[in-house]
Amino acid sequence: METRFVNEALESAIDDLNDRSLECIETRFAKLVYLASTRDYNTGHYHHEGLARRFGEDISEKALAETHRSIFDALALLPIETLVEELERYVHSTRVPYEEVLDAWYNLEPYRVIVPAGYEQLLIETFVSDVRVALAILLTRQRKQR
Amino acid sequence: MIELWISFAIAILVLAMLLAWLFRAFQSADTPPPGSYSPQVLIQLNLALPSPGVVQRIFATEDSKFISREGSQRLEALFLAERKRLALAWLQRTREVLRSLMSLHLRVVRQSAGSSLATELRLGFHYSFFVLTYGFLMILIFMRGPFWASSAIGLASRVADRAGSSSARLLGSLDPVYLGKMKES
Repeated sequence: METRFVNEALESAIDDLNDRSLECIETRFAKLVYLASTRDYNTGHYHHEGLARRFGEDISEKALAETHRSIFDALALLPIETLVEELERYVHSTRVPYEEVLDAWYNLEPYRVIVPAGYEQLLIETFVSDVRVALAILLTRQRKQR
Repeated sequence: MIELWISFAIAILVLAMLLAWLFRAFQSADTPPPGSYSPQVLIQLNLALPSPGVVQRIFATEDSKFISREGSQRLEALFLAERKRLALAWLQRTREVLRSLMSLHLRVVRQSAGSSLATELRLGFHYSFFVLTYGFLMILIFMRGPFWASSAIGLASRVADRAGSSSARLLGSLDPVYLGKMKES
């Protein structure tokens, strides 16, 4: 009975997160970056003030972790061509100069820290590698245009 | 000298046919479907083989074709270097997992009966087959890249999966605490 209650609360929290915080974020990459930013670098715990107030800290953290995983699942094994499109849309959506974002992402590799915990190492390495190649493609196209 | 080479080629051919026949003979109907080898307990013990989705992604030729269309040699070189690194990592990880699985499996079987002779033979065969192809694939991927030997890679992946399945059927039904202790011992 208690498990059912927890599951229903978790589903409501996930819906709430999708309807409020993530609704206005256009791209899947931006959602992944946003959800990763709700995770504490030191502890690995997620925190979202509004969600925790409505559903409690425990349910809120589970909802953030689960949503983070589901967004990553949708992106992790995409063909590089689709990944390039996703990344391009994300870079445009940041409203920061296009090449500046590309350079920062290529050199600083922030995509390494947006991966949720608990995935097999080879999957993470494959995702990181594919994003690196996708960024190199976007940078090459950009330089050709100039 | 030519006769020697012909004999050598015939011997290789016979050996290959024998291996292929043995491989088919061990595909028994009760072998679980590929991908079903890793119950939760093996994941907890870090004994799960790389998932089929990751393997498919690493060796996907659609990416290679897409990169070629971009028309940049620098991009192609970067992509090939990345894929080669991932392919070798897949091969090494698969070997590590199978070696640990075999070692754990043998220790468990020695202490408690519960596995049939057919299962043991099948497991031994699949493991040996993978070990034999491992060195060959390492050289092939290193020299020619990951897209050159897709059928051999597919075969190695299936064999590894079957070895994992055979072992997981026994190990997956045991107490995780007991298995953890056996793994550490």
